[in-house]
Order: sequence, then structure tokens, then C-alpha cells
Amino acid sequence: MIRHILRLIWNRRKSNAMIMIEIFLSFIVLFALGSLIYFSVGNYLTPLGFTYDNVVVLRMNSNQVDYDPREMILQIGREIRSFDEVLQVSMASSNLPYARNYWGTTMTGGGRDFHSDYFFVDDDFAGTMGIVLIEGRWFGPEDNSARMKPIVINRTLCEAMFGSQPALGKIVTEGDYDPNHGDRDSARKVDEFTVIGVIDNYRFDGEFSSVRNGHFRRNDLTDSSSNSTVGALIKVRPGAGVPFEEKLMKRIQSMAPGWTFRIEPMKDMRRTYLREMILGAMPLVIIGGFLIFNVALGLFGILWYSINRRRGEIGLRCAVGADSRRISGQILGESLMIATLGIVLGVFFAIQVPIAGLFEMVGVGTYLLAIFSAAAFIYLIVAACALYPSRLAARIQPAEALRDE
Amino acid sequence: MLKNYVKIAWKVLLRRKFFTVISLFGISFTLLVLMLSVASLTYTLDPAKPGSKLARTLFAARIEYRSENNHIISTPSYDFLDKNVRTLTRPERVSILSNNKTTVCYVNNRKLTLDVKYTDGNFWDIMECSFLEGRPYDSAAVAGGAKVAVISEKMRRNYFGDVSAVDKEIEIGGDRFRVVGVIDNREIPFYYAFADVYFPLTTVRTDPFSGTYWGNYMALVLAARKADWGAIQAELKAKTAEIMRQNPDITKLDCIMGNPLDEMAHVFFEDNPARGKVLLISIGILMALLFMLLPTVNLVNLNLSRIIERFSEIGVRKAFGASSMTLVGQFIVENVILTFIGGAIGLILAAIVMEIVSHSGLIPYGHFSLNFKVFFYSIIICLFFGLFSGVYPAFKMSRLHPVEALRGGQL
Repeated sequence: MIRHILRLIWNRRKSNAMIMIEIFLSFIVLFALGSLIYFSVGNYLTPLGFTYDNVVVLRMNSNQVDYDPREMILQIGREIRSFDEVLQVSMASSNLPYARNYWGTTMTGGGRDFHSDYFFVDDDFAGTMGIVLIEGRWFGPEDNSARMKPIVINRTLCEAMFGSQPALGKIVTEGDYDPNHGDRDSARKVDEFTVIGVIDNYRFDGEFSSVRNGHFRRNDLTDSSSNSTVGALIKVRPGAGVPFEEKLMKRIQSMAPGWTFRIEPMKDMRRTYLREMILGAMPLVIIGGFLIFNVALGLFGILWYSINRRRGEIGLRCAVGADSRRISGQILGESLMIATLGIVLGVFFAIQVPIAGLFEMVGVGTYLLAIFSAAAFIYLIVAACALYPSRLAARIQPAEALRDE
Repeated sequence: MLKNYVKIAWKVLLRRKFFTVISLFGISFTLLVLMLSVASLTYTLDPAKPGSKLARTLFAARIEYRSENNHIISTPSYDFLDKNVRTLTRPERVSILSNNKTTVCYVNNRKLTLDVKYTDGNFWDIMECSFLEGRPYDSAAVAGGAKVAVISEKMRRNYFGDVSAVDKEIEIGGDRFRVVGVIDNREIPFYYAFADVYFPLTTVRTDPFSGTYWGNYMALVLAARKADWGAIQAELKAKTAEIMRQNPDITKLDCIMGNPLDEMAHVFFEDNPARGKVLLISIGILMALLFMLLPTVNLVNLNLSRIIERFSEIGVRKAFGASSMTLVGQFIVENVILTFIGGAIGLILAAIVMEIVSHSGLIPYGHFSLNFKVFFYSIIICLFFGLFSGVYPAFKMSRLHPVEALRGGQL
């Protein structure tokens, strides 16, 4: 049966080739779309690692009014804590959750280099944001006298650097290597840190971001070398809304005239972020959907026409005794066979993406899932499009069809 | 002759309505997507209205500084722009403005989140905004440090309600400003120039932080003619070269002046931005072609299968001596007509979609609309699509043997 169908396809190879190309292209579109959707859904379902409820984000810009704004930032921090509505406050660097601000560096640990996001935060950060520690502890006053700077890393970075070995107490370095500098050793400014804790996750970049390497450094405002604080995360009592924000703004604005402040509940930032992500992905999904719909309509038309054209052949088959089930089976089988050929070609190209290591963060499992769903979807469409024409073919009266010849 | 082709094309379209609908759906939707893409690209990369002053304006909003220990890419500082860009001899006019500062203010227990920008008086001259009420602040007001503001129509609505705002006061960041004018800020097509509230530069409570090259400012440089752009860019280049000569520790100082596309080319292709620009445009065209491939193949397939019903017609015409070229011409004309009908539908749909998007508040600045440029590109896209999908079926058809065709033979 299969050999027979293959021969039939081969006999009409020229017109079938065009249909095959169309199916191949649709497969590629579906594969790309599927990868995107599975990747996004997978990320969305991964825990964020922090809580955004009742957290208000205050961003400040000193506008260079004060050359060294640390004293003012400390004062502002104390002022915020004095409000009744405030439960906890943490001062942090500008790469706040949902703020679209990224700080990256290369860290060396376990003998190898890893790219990692990094955050400057204070001792109250874990409490304010509800960060879950899986090992060790968070920063505390005991780090004031520490000989080496403390560091807290996330699970991904920990596994990448140390595998299954315990990470606590290990030394991690930041090497600043300047390739333009001739002598490698003298160009290296090395900063050393001791790992004091490992957290589960902190996906500051939002629900749709992939899990990346990340680590926290202690931001000590009494240390003049670190003045990277520009944000305050404020955990407030439930129900403290706009009136609290206004009160707070009035107070700190009068303390620091000339500074610019921006205050926003993290929930609102999240809503904006989600809206933008979904709006950004929408055109792709709509375009992909349109392309597939277009192909489905086209396939339906083409199959219908080819049945019309092969009335004589089908009539003859009926005349020599093929029943209607076999006729419609043959039409369906032919269509599915052409689809298979197109899909095989598509799979060949699609598996090159994970093999070549393009978009590594997506992961092989997602790609395989996308390939399978794309293939299944195409079979479904082709079968649906071929069903009506094949029924039509089965109803052809041999006498009528043969008379047309 | 052409009239006959049009008539035939019309008849063919009406013969099988289901297929015509499928074809038209495919064509119009493909062209809709392409037109929307072109519109959003011109919206982000080249948004100025042709003929306006902005279309002749260069933006200086990115400076790259490199020394032994530092590599900084930022917006330029006020100091740098004041000394080097404002002093350029060739431009007609130069305006310096600050980056946006996002802040909040409170009215009746409601919070407004605002983008604030500080500008000089020339800004209003270059932008050519039409004022809903009042007028802009001029250079004299800026020099005098007047506490005045130009606000957007949306800001007026949120702050004052639906009443006149001129001569009323707004309080932002602990300071009070007198409103002198109200604009519809959606008329401002550039991201760089867009804000909710504009203040005179001299009301910034900051030290412009002299001495460095990077900071929080940018410049608009209006050229008398677009042809002067190259000369103006060269003049600035000479100035930065002079700075580098005097300060040997700076290994690179490059202030980019251009439109957003130039800037993008600089970001992605540092070494050769001119080639990068060509490359970016080529990538855009390639993406469009890739997107068009699937609907085109679909249309080709439909056309190929529809030729059957015209075998007898082709056979008769061939038998009476029509050359292959004539038949190819006819088929291409038919296809282009079909494409143009689809294109017209697509254009109408695009206009509707853009209207919906503009009113939904999804895009903050500028008008997202069909303009002359988009229309022009759309026609080119239509022609291209029509030829692209019409040539192969026409070629196949022209090769039919008259006898075979009359008998209804195989392709």
C-alpha cells in the first residue's frame, strides 16, 4: 500500500513538490512558534523566587546634586523606616525586579568562568523580598568585620561552579581582564569573595525570563567604594496605598530637593511588564496563526482541485471494483504521505538548531516538544483538509467519470 | 489589450468565488502584516514627517568614550554639547535637551507618573508643535530661569480636568511651575523628544557636572538641507579628533549624530556603521521576503491547480497563434490585478488596525498611521508579491502544447 502511494506521488512529483515545499515551510513556522510558546510557558511556570505583594519600589536619582549621595541615602532609609505603614526596607542597586536594568559580570569559581548577573543589596533584602535560602545564611552585621567580602549565589551558579559539592566557604573571584592590555597578569584586577549562602532563585527579570546565573554582593553604605544604591524596596502593611506613597514622597522630597524620585508598587510594575511581554509576543502568534490558516485554506483548495482532475482515474478504480472506503483511504493516504515527506525535510532543518547550540537557554527538551507538536499539528491540518475531498472522491460514479474521459 | 486582460481577470475572479476568497484572504493578510511592519519600522526608525524641520534634524544622543581604564557609552553631557555641538558653524540651529526623568506627582489622592524633560528655547522652534493653548517658552525665558512649563494635553486632563491650564500652577518635585502652553504630545514623533512635561533647562537644580563627556543630555541639530548632514557630522568629528589630540589618554571619543537607524547601525556594527546600515536594511528586506515565502508558495499552488479550468482557453489562444510571451504577460497582469485588489483590502484593514492601535494607548508617542511613505512602500510590496507569485504559474502555462491543452492534458 505504502509503495503504491509512493509511486502515485512520484508520478505527479512536480505538482506534489510544491505542496511538499509548502508543508515544509509551515512546519518551520510551527516549530519556531512552538519553541517560543513552550519556552515562555516553561519559564512562566518556574517559581519567581521572590514575592511582589505589598512591596513598594522607590527609585531615586540624585541628579548629581550631591557628589557623594550616600549620607542622604542613609537618611532617606531611616526616614522611610519611621513610617507606621512600613514593615521592612531594603536598599538596592538599580537592577530592581521588573525595572529592565541589568548588571552582568564574569565570575570565576571552581576553576571556570561564568557570566552572572549581580546585585548590590543590604542585610534586609532577603526578608523584604521573601528570598528562600537553601544553604547557609544571608548577609548580616557579622559581615562587617569579615576578612573577605561575602557573597550569596543562586542555585544555578552554584551547580555550574561546584556541582554537587558544598559551596559554603568556597572562594569566588571576579577577574577583570582587559584584552587590550599586553601583559595578562598585570591587567588582572582580582576581587575575592567567600560564599556564605545559596538561594533558590531570584528571577528579577520577570516571569518570562529564563533562569540565569546570579549572585548578590553586600552593599555597605559606610564603605565609600560602594555607592550604587539607587532604589529602596519597601515592604508595607496590606492596605497602605496611594495616601502612604504621597506622604512618603512629600517627606523625602523636602529632605532632598533637586533629587528625582519615582515610586511604584511592584505589583503595578509587574502588571506593566506582563502586558508588554504579551503584547510583544502577540504579533508573532497572530502572524504564525495566519500563515497556518492560509496554508490550510490553500491545501484544501488544491486537494479539491486535484480530485476533480483525477475523476477519470478514480472512476476507473471504482469500475474495477474498489469500494468507496478504499478510494477515500487512498486520497487521505496520499495527502498524509506528502505531508510526511515535507515534515521529514522540516525535522532535518529543525534539529540543526539544538545541534548547533543556537539559543542555548531554550533547552533540547523544549525543541523536541516543539518538533513533535509541529508534526502532529501538520498531520491534523492535512487530514482535516483531505477529509472532505476524499469523501467527494469516494462518491464519484464510475459511469459518469468514465463518460467524461 | 490591457483592457481585455482586465476583463478576463475579472471574469476569472468571479468564476470560482471560493478560490478567489482564499486568494484574496492570503494576499490581503500578507500585505496587511507587511504594511503594519513597514509602518512600525518607519515609526521607530524614521518617524519625521517629510518636509518638517525634524526631517532635516540630526540627533546627538550617544557618545562613546574609551580610555585605558574606562569604556563608557552614554548620552553626552551638557558641557560637551554646549562646547562642541552648539558651536558648530554649519547647522541652522541647535537645541540641547535633557534625558527624560520619570517622577510622580499627586493630585487629589491620585498618582500621576510623568516623564519630565528640560529643554532650551530652540527646541520648540525645531519641533514645530501646534499648541492647543498658550505658547512655548522662548530663549529669553530660559536664560532668565523662569519657572514655567509646557504640558501635554493628557497631563492637563489628569491634573486640571477639562479646563484651560494656562497660567495655572503645577507642583512637581517640590517646585511650583506656571503652565504657559499645552501641546498634544502624540504629535512628537521621536522617543528622544517625547515627555509629559517640559521645563526650561535653567530650572534644573543640578550642576551640569562639567569636565566629563558623558552625562544626561542630548542635542537636536537642524541642518538647512539634508545634504549638509555629512558636512555637519564631519565638523563634529574634527572637533572630537582635536579633543583626543589634546588629551592623549582618550583612545576613543565618538559622538554619533544621525537618526535612530544610524544609531542602531552604530550599536550593532561598531567598526563600519555605514556598511552596518546597509546590512540592517538588507536584513529587514530578507525577513520580509522570508515571511512572504509561505503565502507565495500557497498562492502559486492555488494558481497552478486553477490553470486546469483554463486549459481550453489557453489551447484556443495558442492554436490561433498567441505567443508564449503574450500568455505569460496576460497571466502576470491577472495576478498583479488580483494582488492589487488584495492590497487595497489590506490597506483598508491596515488603516483600521492602526486607528485601533493609536486609540488604544498602546503606543505612547507619535502617530502610528498610514502615511505617504508607507503607502508608497505598500504599492511596491504589492507589485513584488504579484510578480513573485505569478511568474512561475505563467511560465508553466506558457509551455503547454496547444493540442495537449485543448484535450485537458497534464502540466
